[in-house]
Amino acid sequence: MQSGSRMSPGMVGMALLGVLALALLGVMAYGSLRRVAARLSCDFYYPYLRLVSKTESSFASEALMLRDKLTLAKAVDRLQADNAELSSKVTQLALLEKENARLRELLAMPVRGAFKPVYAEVIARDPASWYERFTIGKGQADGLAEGDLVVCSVLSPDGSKFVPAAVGRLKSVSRHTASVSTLASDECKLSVALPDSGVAGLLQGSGLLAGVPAPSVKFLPLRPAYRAGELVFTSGVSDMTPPSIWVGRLCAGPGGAVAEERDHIYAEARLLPAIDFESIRFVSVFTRAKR
Amino acid sequence: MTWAAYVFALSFLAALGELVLDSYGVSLPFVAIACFYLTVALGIGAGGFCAVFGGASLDFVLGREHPLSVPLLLVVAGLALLWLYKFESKSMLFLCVPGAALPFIVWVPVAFLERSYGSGWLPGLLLQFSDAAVASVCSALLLPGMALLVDGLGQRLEMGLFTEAKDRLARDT
Repeated sequence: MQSGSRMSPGMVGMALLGVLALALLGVMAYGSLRRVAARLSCDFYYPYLRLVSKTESSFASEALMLRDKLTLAKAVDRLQADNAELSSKVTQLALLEKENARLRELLAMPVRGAFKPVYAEVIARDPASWYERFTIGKGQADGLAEGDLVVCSVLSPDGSKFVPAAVGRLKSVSRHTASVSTLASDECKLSVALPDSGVAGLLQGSGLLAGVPAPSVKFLPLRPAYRAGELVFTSGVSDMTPPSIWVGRLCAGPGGAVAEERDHIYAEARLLPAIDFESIRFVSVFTRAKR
Repeated sequence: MTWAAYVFALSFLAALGELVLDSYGVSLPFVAIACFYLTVALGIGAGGFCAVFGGASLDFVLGREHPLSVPLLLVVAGLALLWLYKFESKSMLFLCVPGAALPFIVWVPVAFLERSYGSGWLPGLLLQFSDAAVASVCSALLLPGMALLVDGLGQRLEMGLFTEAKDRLARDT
């Protein structure tokens, strides 16, 4: 009995240590477990969610048959003309790419990796974070990786043609799906350039301006010359991001000023994204071609 | 085996239905409704499974930063037990009350934490409540409707029924 009572504190201590170790292990493994569970869940639901979007697309295609033949013929003509123009541009770009690589070689500069656009469809979106994130139906199997830039086609700043504009970055990637953090999300950080002012900054953070997502461009030099409507593009500083992709325009903040001084060190400005986050259905992901 | 397949199928269909409707911007708490139904009809084991499986599915597929759905759905399972033990479960009309409460329990905390508001958290909270109010009306009609529909299926499969849960409890005790 006496021996039992002598053992008790030790056993209790061991049990407590065991519980503590298990709790610690649980906390340490939480991140990995969560990642694995997220990948499994996304890939498990992928075929069903894909089926829904496929059905919707086939209905949309069938609806085309309701249009009259003349309208469809005109549309085909227009598409053929666009196709011919784009093909010639692609040929021209391939030549320029070769020339660029040769010039870089002569100057002993490292050759920049090319980006390959991967087309994807939005398969799941949460009303609780409608502006902040969504899930697309392409993943590792298509060459995507975390941090890749996601773009969507919009009318160019002068309204003459369609150009790609930044939507956000890939936050996590499973085999067949990927979760996108948009520019409106706290999790998305993007290095940007303002060619008119000749400066660069970091797009980060969230916030709404008159009900529309308006992230901040931080760490801009303290210069009072920023004006509303100034165009913002990706800087291409990071290897993950192609340069010169349109991001949006600077706009006046709640106080009326375009840029506000922060800690007497840098200026911060609000950005109105080029993308309308309300209705994104198809996107392209710029992924490194040789991964 | 049939029991497990039945619980899995209901949880999966509820999660898939909610995911598909979410993608169109329609927020209806199918998983919370299924969790409430399964807890009352088949017990806390079935409700708990639905809470964990359905909640994890929603959080992971929608890429939520804060995986809060599982604990919130477990709260729903607890409330379903409370409903079974303290209130009448036969009256379908009376079911509108927990049905209306479900979106506020499972949706408002998630939506409030997931959305980025900058500094304006109070307008954000009010916005969530207004969205949840719409979902609440739909959910108040959906819970009794789904209880009737799934009871019809459960009867064919000889499963425990929602409408007989109170009688079963009285018999057991």
